Amino acid sequence: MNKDIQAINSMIQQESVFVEKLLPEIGKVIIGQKYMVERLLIALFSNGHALLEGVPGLAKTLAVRTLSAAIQTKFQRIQFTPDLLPADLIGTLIYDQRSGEFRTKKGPLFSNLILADEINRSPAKVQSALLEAMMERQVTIGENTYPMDDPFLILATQNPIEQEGTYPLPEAQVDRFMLKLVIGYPNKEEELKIMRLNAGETFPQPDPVITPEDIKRARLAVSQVYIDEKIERYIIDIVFATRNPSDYKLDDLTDLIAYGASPRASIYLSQASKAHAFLRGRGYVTPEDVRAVGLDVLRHRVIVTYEAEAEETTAEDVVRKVLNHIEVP
Amino acid sequence: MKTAEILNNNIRKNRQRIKIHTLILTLWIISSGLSAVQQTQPEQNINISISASVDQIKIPLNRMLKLKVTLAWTGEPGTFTVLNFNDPVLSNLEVTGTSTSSRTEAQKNGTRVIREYEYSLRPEGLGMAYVESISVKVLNNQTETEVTLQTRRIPVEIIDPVAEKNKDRNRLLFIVLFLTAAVITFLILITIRKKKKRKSSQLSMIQEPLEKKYLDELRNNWDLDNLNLQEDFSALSRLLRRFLTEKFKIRAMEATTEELIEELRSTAMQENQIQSVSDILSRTDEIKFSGVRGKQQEFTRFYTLIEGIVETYLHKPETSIQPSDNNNGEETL
Repeated sequence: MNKDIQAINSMIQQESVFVEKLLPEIGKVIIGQKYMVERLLIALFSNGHALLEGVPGLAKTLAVRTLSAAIQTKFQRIQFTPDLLPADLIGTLIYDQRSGEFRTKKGPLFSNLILADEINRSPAKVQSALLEAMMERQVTIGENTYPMDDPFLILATQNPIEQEGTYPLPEAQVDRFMLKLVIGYPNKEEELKIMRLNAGETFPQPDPVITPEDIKRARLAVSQVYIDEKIERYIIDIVFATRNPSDYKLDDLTDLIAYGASPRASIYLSQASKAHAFLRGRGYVTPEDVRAVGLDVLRHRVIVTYEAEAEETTAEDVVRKVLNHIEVP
Repeated sequence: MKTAEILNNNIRKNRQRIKIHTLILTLWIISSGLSAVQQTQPEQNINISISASVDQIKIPLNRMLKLKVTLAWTGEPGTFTVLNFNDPVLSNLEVTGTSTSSRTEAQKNGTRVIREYEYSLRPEGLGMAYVESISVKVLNNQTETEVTLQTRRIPVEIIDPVAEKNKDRNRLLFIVLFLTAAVITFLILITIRKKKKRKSSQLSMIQEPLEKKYLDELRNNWDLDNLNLQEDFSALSRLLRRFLTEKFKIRAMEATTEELIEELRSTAMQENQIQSVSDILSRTDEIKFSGVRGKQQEFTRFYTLIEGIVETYLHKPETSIQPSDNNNGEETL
C-alpha cells in the first residue's frame, strides 16, 4: 500500500509537469482569470463539461480558444441563436445525386473543444441535442451512431444579464455540467495589462505545448489519484448536508433548500478533487481539494426555495454555508 | 308761667311725636333690612323673585369664588321672559367662567320655575371685594308688563393665600419617583457589576484550565512507547484543532489546513508557533489522506511541539483574539 501511494505520487508528479508549461502559455493571452483557466483544466482532465457564466467581455471565448490552441486540438465555436436546429449541431444526412445515396454530413459537435456560446439563446430541442451528446458521448445521425472525438469537452457560456428571449436550461440539464463557473471582473493591475496587450500591433498567440495524447495520459493519472475513505465520507457529508441540512445542525437552511445535490454531485466532486490534486502535483486528495472545487460543483445542483429567493439567498450562499460548516476529516 | 307750661307741653308732645316717628322709621328700617338679609325682593302682585349668593364670604387669594344668581317664579315656564340680564359689576374680582341652568319643581301650590346663573370668580388682590347689584329685566307675558329685579351688593373678604395641597402631593410624588429611579439605577449598576465580575471570574476559571485540560488529555491519551501511529497522528491533529478552536475562537475544525493557517495569522499567535502548527497539520494531513505511514520520531516531535504550544499559553493566559472572515471555498493557483 505504501509503495503504491509512493508510486502514484511520483507518477502524478511526472505527469503533471506539462501543467507548468501549459499555464504560462495560456497566460500569454489570458491575463488574470487563473480561476477560470484552472477550472477548465479540471474539467478537461476529469472528462467533464463546464458552464461558464459571466457578463460579456470577460475573455470566456478567448480562454477556450487559447486553451484549444495550446493543446493542439480541434476547436469549434457555435453561437446559439433562437433559429438554430439540432441538425446544425450534430449534422444531418444529405442526398448525393451522383451516387443516389444519403451521405452523412457531421456537424460542428465533432470536435475536441466546443464552445457553445450563449447556450440559453436556443430552444430546448437544440439544448437537448447538445446535452445528449455530452452525456452519451455519441450522436446518432440517421441509422448510424458516431462516437464523439476524444478529448471531448463542451464549454457552454451563458449571460446572466439580458434574460429577455432566452430559454433557461432546466435543472436536469444543468446537472450534466460538471462545473458551473462564475467569472468575475479582473482586478486593476490585470485590466491594465489587458489594455496594454490589446493596444499592441500584434496579439500574442499561444504555442501548442501539449497534445491530445498528453490529455489522455493526464486523465489516466487523475483517475489514479488516491482518495482516502475519510475524504470520500467528507464529500458524502457535504452532499448530504444539502439534502438534509437539519441532520448536520444546519436547521436554518431547511426552509431554504428545495432540492439538494444529486448523486452526480458526489461523483463530480470526487473527480474534480482528484483533478485539483493532480494540478497541484499531488497523488492524493486532501480536504483542500474538495473545498477548492466544492462551490463550482455544487452551486448549480442546489435548488433554493421561493422563501430563499425572497430573502435574496442564492444557491451559492447555501453551498458556501454548508462547506464552511462540515468538519474536515 | 302758663306760657312756660304750654311750651313744655309742646316740647313734650314734639318729643313724643319724634319718638313715634323714630320708632316708625326704625321699624321700617328693620323690616326693609330683614328683607335685604333674605336677599329677596318680591314684586308686589307678581310671584317672581331674584337672589344672589356667594359660596364663601372669606376667600383666600389663591382660591376661586362661586357666585350664584337665582331667578324663580311659580307658574308656567313661559310666564316670564328675561329681557335683559346684565353681568355683575365686580370690584377686585375677575370672571373666569359662567354657566346657566334651568329646572322646574312640582310643589303644593303649583310648578316652580328656577333659573340659575353661576359665575366663577377669581380674586385679584388682598382686601375687600364686591359683587355689585345685579339688575334683571323680565316681561310678564300674562300682563304684558316689564319688571326690573335687583340683588343687593355682596361684600367678600380676600385673605392671604393658603398652601396648595396638590402642589405638596406632586412634590412628594416627584421625590418618590426620583428616589425609586435612583434605587433602580443603583440596583441595575450593582447587578451589571456583579455579572461582569462573575463573568470575568468564570472566564478566568475557564481560561486557566483550558491549557491544563489539553495538556492532561495529551499526557493521558498517549503512551509514547506504545503507539498506534496511523490513528494517533489523526487524533493528535484533531486535538490541536480543538485547542485552537477553543483558544482563539476560530472554526479550526471546519477549516482546511491552509485556511486555518491563514486564520491563525490574524490572531495573537507567534509566527514560529504558526509555522509549527502548519508543519504538524500538513504532515498529519499527508499521513491521514495519502496512506503513507508516519514515523514514531515524527509523532514524538509533534507531540512535544503541541505540548510546548499549549504550555506557552498556560503561562500567558491573556490572548487577543481576532476571528477572521470565513473562507468562501474558492481558491486559485
